[in-house]
Amino acid sequence: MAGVEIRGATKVYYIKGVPVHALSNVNLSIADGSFVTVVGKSGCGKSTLLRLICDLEPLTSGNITFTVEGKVKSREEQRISMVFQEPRLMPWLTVEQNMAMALIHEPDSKKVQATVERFLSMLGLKRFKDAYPRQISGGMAQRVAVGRTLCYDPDLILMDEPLGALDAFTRRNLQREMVDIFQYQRKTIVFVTHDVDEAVFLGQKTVILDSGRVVREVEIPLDYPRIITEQAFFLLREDIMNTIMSD
Amino acid sequence: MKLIKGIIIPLVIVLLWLFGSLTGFFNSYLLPSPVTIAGTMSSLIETGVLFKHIGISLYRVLFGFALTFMLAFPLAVILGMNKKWNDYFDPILDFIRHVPPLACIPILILWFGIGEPPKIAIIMLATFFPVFLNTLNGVLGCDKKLLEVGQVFEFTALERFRKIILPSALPSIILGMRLGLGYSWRSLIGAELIAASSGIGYMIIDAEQISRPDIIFVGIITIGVFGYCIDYGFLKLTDYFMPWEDRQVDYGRG
Repeated sequence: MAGVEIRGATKVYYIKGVPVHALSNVNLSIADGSFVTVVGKSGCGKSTLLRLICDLEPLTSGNITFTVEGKVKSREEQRISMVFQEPRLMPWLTVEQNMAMALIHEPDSKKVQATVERFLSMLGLKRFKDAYPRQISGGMAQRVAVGRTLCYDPDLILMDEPLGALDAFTRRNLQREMVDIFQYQRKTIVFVTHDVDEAVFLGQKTVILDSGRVVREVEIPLDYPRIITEQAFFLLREDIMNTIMSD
Repeated sequence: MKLIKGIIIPLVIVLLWLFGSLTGFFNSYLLPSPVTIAGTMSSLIETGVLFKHIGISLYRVLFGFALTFMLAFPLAVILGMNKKWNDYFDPILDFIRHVPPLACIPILILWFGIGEPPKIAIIMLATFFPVFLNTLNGVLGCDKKLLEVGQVFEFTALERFRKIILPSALPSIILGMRLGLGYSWRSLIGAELIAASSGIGYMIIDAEQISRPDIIFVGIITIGVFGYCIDYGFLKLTDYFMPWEDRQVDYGRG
């Protein structure tokens, strides 16, 4: 597990020489072992935030540090994994091989095999382990991407709208699986979504972003598994929705 | 079924040709009958002449191709992975690309005589660009999103190349090799027509000088059949090495 401390994070892109602020002076604390969801309209900087935490892109200014049991650690000392909007599976590898690629630095092949088997079973992918990505459905492919990340055994899991392209039924199933994964694996998870229901269903805290700034942080004091028809769920959802709409 | 469909048109051509020859519609000197050509082919096979020439041409093609691949493949990978070097190499490579290999034959003969080196050099010139450019495109076209996955899992540069870039570029690399082999076969025949004392190209030009159009046709048919077989072998290799590709095999094969 790892917590994240984001201080003054700013990211500026230049489009034809014109600066565009994707993130402006973002301050955010993500507690060790917590499930944080990030919501906001399209283009509010949600994905950029994850890419900066994962070091896929450099910060323009500010800094991001990681904390493990109260001690500050650098990015290099962290195992961070990311599940992207698309599954991003290697088309030339089978489901099993795609998951095993996260363990490329593990010398013990038996351990690799055991880890992959464990997550194949957990995610209900065992029957499809020899299939190529083009032979499985979108929902299954996204599950493989989640499995690949879990095989990596990261301290911090970043999820960038991983369920965005799925149908409602598959989406609901995978949301439940996410909650299970969080409860059993006890990883720190930062989950970006544009779906407020999903944010409230999953997160212990929801961060609302708008135009590259943190507008509000909302604690979600509901027990898992959550029921979306409950009054408390509904009120939290409306509260978050109103905040987003009022900007 | 595909095989049968692919055979129909060649069969119709041969039948029309046979009909034209038997009825005297075609001049038997300019266009010998298929029966004569089959007889000539059979005697050339029996005496071993045909295989001698095929063997020599095939050796030249494979040797030249292997040399080219060893040069073009690493260069394309290096330039593909280090884009800033492209500025140095682009102009000179573009210049060479626009020079037809056959235009270089006279100067190659002046430099190397009419032995093996000019023929190998011609093959290398003809094969280099299909292999180089397709490999380069394959490497450059590697999906950045997949590379980011490697970055997330902390792949080293070598692991990125072996596990992501190479498999992703493999279809382009194999396409380049197929095209390259086709080009090397064509250019070699060109070179053998101009300056050689052996090989299929030589057999054809020699047949012209002794007025044996039947042998010319045997040569042409041999070149076509060999080209087809090499290409078919490559397609089978592609199927073997890239089982993930849902590729349709066309042109009446298999």
